Amino acid sequence: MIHHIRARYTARAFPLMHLNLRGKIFVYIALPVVLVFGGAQVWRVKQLYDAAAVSTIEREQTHIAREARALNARLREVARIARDTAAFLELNPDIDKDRLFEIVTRNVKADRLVYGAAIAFAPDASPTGMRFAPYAYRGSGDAIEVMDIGRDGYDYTARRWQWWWRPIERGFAVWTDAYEDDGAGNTMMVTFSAPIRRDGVPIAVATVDVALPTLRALVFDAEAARRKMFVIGADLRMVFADNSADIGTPLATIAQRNGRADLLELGNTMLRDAPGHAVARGWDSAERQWIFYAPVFSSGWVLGLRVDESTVFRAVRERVAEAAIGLVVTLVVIALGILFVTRRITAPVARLDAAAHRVAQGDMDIDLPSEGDDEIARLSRTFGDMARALVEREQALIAETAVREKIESELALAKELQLSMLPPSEAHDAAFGRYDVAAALEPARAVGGDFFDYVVTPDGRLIFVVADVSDKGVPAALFMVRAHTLMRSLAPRLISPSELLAAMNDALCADNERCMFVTLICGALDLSSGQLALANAGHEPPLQVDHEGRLTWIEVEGGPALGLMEGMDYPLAERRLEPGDALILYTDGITEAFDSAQRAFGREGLEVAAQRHAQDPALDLCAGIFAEVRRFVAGAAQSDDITLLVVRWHGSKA
Amino acid sequence: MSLTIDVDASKPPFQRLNLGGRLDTTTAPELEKRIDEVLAAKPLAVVFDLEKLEYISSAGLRAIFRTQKVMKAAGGQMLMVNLQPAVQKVFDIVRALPLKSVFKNIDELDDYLDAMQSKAREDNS
Repeated sequence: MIHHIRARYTARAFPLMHLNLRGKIFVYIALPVVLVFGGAQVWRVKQLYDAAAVSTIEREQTHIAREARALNARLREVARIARDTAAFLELNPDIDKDRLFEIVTRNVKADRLVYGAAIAFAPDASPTGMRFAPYAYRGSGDAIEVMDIGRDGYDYTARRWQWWWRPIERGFAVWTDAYEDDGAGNTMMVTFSAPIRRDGVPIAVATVDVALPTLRALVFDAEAARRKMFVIGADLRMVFADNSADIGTPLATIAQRNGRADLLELGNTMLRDAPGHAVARGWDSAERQWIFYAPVFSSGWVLGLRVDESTVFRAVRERVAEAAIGLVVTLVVIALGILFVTRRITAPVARLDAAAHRVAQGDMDIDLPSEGDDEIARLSRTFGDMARALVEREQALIAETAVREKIESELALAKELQLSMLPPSEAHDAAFGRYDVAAALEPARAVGGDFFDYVVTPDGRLIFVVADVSDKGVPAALFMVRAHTLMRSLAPRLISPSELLAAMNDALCADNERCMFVTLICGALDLSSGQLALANAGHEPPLQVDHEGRLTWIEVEGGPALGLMEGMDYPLAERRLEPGDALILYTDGITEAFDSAQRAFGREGLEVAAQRHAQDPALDLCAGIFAEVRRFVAGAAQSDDITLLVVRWHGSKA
Repeated sequence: MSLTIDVDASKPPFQRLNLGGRLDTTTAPELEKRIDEVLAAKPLAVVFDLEKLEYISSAGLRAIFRTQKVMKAAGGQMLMVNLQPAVQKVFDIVRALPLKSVFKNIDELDDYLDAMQSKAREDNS
C-alpha cells in the first residue's frame, strides 16, 4: 500500500523527486553554484575574446601601416634614382654614349633593391638614329652586366611595354604594373620610369627595375613572410605574395583557382578603402583570417597582412583553457564539499529512515546515535523515545488484553452460570394443557440483575416472578443471585406472595450497605379456578391481555422495593382470570428501552406490541413483543437488562 | 445528555444538591462520590432538588436511598423537592419514600428546614 502511494506520488512529480534526500540537497545547492560560476566564466571568456580582438586590430593596423610606409619610402628612394638620371640628362642632352652605360651601371649599384636600370631613347631621338637603350642589371653572382637592349631586336616601343609608354603618354614619372621581363632578367618585376624631355617633348625614359621576389629579403623581414604579407597592384595582380609562384598572378586567377569569387571583391575593397581590416575565410585555408591592409601611395598598391584567427585568439584560448581547468577544479572541490556536507546532514536522516522502516516491520530494537542539538538529533531522540514508548505500550496492551480476556472469560462463565439458574424460557402444562409460559431475558452487559422464575406447586398453583435488581452489571448480578437464591429457599414454605415478599424484604435489608434493592412482582395462579393472587414490591404493573384481545393494566397496591426498609407489608391483590387470558410481566428495560433519539418505548409501545400479538400463543406473544422492542431500539446501546414473562391460562381442562 | 450536580452548602447545617439531566448507571457513580463528600460534612439534612432532573434509573434511586439510609442512621434526614412527573412516577413505582421527606416546592421545604433548625437549637440549649 505504502509502495503503491509512493509510486503514484513520484510518477507525477518533478524528475528530481526520484532522487533521495542527499541527491536533492546536492542538486539544489550544486545547480545554482554551477550556473553562477559557469555564467561568470562564460562572460569572462567573452570579455577576453573582445579584448583580444581589439588589441589585435590595433596592433596589426599599426604594424601594417608601418610596413606600408617603409615599403613606400624604399620605392621612393629607388624611384629617385630614375628621376635624378632623367633630370641630369635633360640638363645634359649631348652627353656621350659611353657615359650613358656608366650612368646605368652606377644606378644599379646605387641601391640593392635596384635589379636593373636603363635609359631608353625613342628611335628618332636617339644618338644612333635607331632604338638605343643602355641597360645594366644584376647577373649571376651579383656581377653587373651591361648591354644595349635596343640592339637585340627588343622593340621596347611596342605597346605591351608600360615602362616605355606610360611616362611618354602621361608625361610624368610612373611605376608600371608587375610584369615578367623576358628580355633581360626573366623575373617578375616592376619598373619606375621617368620621362626625359627635349623642348618639352619626351624623347627618352630613365628607368629602374625592382625584381619583386627580392622584396622579401630586401624590404620585408622574415617575420613578414611568415605572417603572409602580400601586395596587390592597382591592376589587381599580385605584386608580392608569400608564395613566390603567385607573384604577378592576377587576383582573378587566384580567386578562380581557389573557387573564391569573393577574393576579387576583397581586393577591390582593399585598394579602394585602405587602410582598414576585414575578416574572411582564408583564401588558402578553411580557417577564417583577419586581413589588415594599408596603402602604398607612390605605386598605388595596397599592402595586406593575413592573420589566422587561431593566431589572434591563441593567447585567449590558452587563458580560456586555464580558466576552464580552474573552473573544473573549483567545481570538483565545491562538489566534494557539498557531498561531504550533505552526507553529514543526511546520514542521520538515512539512519532514521532505516530505523523507522525496521520499527514499521515490528523490530523495536533500534539504537539511534543522536549527539548534538539540531532538529535531526532531536527528531532521532524523539523517535527513539517513541519506539521505546511503543514497546512499553505494546507490552502494556498485551498485559491489559490478557487481563481483559480473563475477565471476559470469567464473565462469560458467570453469564452461563446465571442463566442456568433460571428455568427454561418456555413451558406448558404437558399433562392438562392448562397454561403456557414463555420468557425472554437479555442483560445489558454480560451479566445482569433481572430474573424471572416460575414453578408449579404440588397444590396446583403456578407461582411466577419477575424481578429487577437496581443498576446493572456485576453488582446487580451478585444481588440478583442473593435475591433469587433467597426466593427459591423461602418459596416452598410460604403460602402467599405477600408472605414471600415480606420475608425476602427483611432478609435483603440485612447487610445491605450499598442500598441495593430489587423490585419484584410475584403471582400465584390457581390452575383449576383461574384465581390469581398478586403481590408487588415496587415493580411495574403487569399487562393483562384477555381472551378477546382487550388490554388491562393491573395496578395493584403494593409495597416498596425489596431491600430498602424492614418490616414492610405487601398487600395481596386478587382477581380471577378467564380461560385464554394472558398476563405480561416485564422489567423497565422494556418500557425504558431508548432509541437513538432518547425516546422511550414506554407503556404505549408495549400496548401496541401486545395488541398486535394478542391472539398468539404465549411463546409468539413473548417473542413478538421482544422483536418490536429490538426494532424500536434499532442499534442504540441497550441501557438496561430486559426481561419479559408471558403466562397464559387456558382454563381448567380436567 | 449527562448529569449536572450543583452542591449548595451556603446554609449549614443543610446541604443541598441540585441535580439536572439524566441520573443513570453511567452518571450515578459520580453522584455517589459527591454525596460521600457532602456526608463527610455531617449535615443535619441533605436536600435533593430535582427540578431539572429529567430521568432517573434504578442506579440513581439506589444512590438516593443510600443517602437516606446513612442520614437516618446518623439521626439526620434526607429530603427531596421539586420532583418532576417522570421522576415522581419512578419513585411511586418503587414505593420506597416516606411521604414526609418529599416536598412540592422550595417554600414548603424552607419552612420545614426552618422549623427543624429551631428545634435543633432548642434541643442544644
